[in-house]
Amino acid sequence: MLFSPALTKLVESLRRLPGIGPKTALRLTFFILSMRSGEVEEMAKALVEARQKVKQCSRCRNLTEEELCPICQDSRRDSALLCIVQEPRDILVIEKTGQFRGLYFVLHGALSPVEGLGPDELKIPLLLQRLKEGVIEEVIVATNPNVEGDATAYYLAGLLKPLGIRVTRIGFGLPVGGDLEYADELTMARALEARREITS
Amino acid sequence: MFIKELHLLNFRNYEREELQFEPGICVIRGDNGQGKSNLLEAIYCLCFARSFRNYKENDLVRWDTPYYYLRGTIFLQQRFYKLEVGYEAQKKRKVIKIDGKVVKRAGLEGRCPLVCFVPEDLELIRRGPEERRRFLDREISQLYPLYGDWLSRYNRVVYQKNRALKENWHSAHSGEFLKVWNKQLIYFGSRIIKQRAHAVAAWGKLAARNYSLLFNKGPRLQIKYVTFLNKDLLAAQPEEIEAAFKARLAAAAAEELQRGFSLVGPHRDDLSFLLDEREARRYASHGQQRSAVIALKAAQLQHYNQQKEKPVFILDDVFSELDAQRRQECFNLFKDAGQVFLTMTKKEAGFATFRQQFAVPSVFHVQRGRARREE
Ligand SMILES: Nc1ncnc2c1ncn2[C@@H]1O[C@H](COP(=O)(O)OP(=O)(O)OP(=O)(O)O)[C@@H](O)[C@H]1O
Ligand SMILES: [Mg+2]
Ligand SMILES: [Zn+2]
Repeated sequence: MLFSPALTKLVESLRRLPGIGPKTALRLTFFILSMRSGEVEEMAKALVEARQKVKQCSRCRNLTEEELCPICQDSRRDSALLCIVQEPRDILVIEKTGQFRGLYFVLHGALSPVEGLGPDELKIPLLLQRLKEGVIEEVIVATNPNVEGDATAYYLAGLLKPLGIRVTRIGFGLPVGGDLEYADELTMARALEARREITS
Repeated sequence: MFIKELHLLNFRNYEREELQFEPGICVIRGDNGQGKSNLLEAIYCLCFARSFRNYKENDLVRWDTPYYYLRGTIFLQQRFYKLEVGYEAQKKRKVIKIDGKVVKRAGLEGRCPLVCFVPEDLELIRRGPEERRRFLDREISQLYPLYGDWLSRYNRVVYQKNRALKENWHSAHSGEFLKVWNKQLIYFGSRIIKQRAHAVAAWGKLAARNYSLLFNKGPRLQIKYVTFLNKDLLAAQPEEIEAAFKARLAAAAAEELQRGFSLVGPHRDDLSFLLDEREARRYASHGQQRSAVIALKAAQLQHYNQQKEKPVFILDDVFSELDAQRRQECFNLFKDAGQVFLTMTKKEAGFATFRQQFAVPSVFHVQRGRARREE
């Protein structure tokens, strides 16, 4: 190796991050080395602290430092409406729209035998327990619009409909508007096929 | 349709090349290993944003360069389209543009009439069912815009379902767990089946006629789509196919659980060639088998013509594989295409006669990743 062991170690750690290739890792490393040492210490502390303090909300599995996340604590939110998402970042996307006033449940994935993710790994029993409290009337399944996301939506619909809960489906990643003659054709065609109402 | 312009940047062994084409026949000549097939591959890739050979995307990028970029103009449905395909090897990121606008889908897949003919196709009848399925999928995804999307989702479902069956996921989660995969298997699978049935029926009819024109008094060619549903698939409504599929899955459920993989679905389909009602795979001569494939290729070209657009026809190395008779059969196909690209090596004896017969309008000479027009 051309570089010192400490430097190489840093490059290797950064490379573990998603979307960071060897070149970017090296660039970040050089940048970090050019920072003031106080700044670097702060950054390192932030990493460790976040990892130690942030955990899953015991109700919705969103990321939080407390027992309950701010959304679950907010009594003004509509507790009859629940949105199920795959990842905590999906909550940010939905919250940005300002259109949704209900609560959430985060699966941290979608059903995928190939990745070893089944109902237990997604903590679906925890979700069921919550639904059985009887407050929630409608569930919106906002898993990704792919095979695994759809499988999860069907699975949830099969589980929840017998409980008398209304289940609907929305998808992310669908371009909206857009006048591109070609770009949206596939999306449009799929949307027109109207397979977004879920039956189990 | 025809290709008017093609610019290549770091594509295979082409560093930078700009070419102009006309409708009609275009011969790509050159010695082995100079870049003839690569040029055809670039034309295909411009239209469909992937290779017609089964290669990985990164293989298309010129060695030691970070990306490839193709730009071209094609004439389609009475107007010109500017197409661009760029691919960055390290990020595995592909950008496709049509008339300068980024599109999400695979280029013009499903709306670009293009038929390609490669030496492996000649052995279609002799090869295994998975090769014939790959042939079907490649050709049909070029025909219907949604087919490629259905197929990739379908394959993903089969992959997930097989894992679920193999690892006994159902035992922990009751039948509900398999149901969510089967539901999608039925949804995408039925659409694939219907599209395959339609395409093969259309091609089969035309191919039968082509074959009988080639050999009057010869055996009768039939091309049949073989799937697990005993239904008139052409007449059936999508819901009927779904219902039949569902019933077959239910009947096979116990066996699937026991054997640990997915037993029912179009991932096990095949294409059957019959000569006078007998399996060509088992009884026909090698020459008859190849003529049957040529008749099928002709049918594909004619099928596009029925949809009122003369297709582009790409032939890579096919001629060197054929005897004089079948070469002539192939030449006859050219009248059904709007533009033909074919490769020939320098040594090829047929070129002189070919030139006489067709008064070939353009010939490109390829050498070490450069293409020069021969006057
Ligand atoms: N990614 C790449 N980068 C650079 N060169 C490549 C790349 N991929 C293939 N090549 C080169 O391209 C050449 C093959 O080109 P091509 O397949 O077009 O040959 P050809 O002219 O069709 O030959 P033949 O007559 O044997 O079919 C090979 O010599 C190979 O070294
Ligand atoms: Mg070649
Ligand atoms: Zn919460």
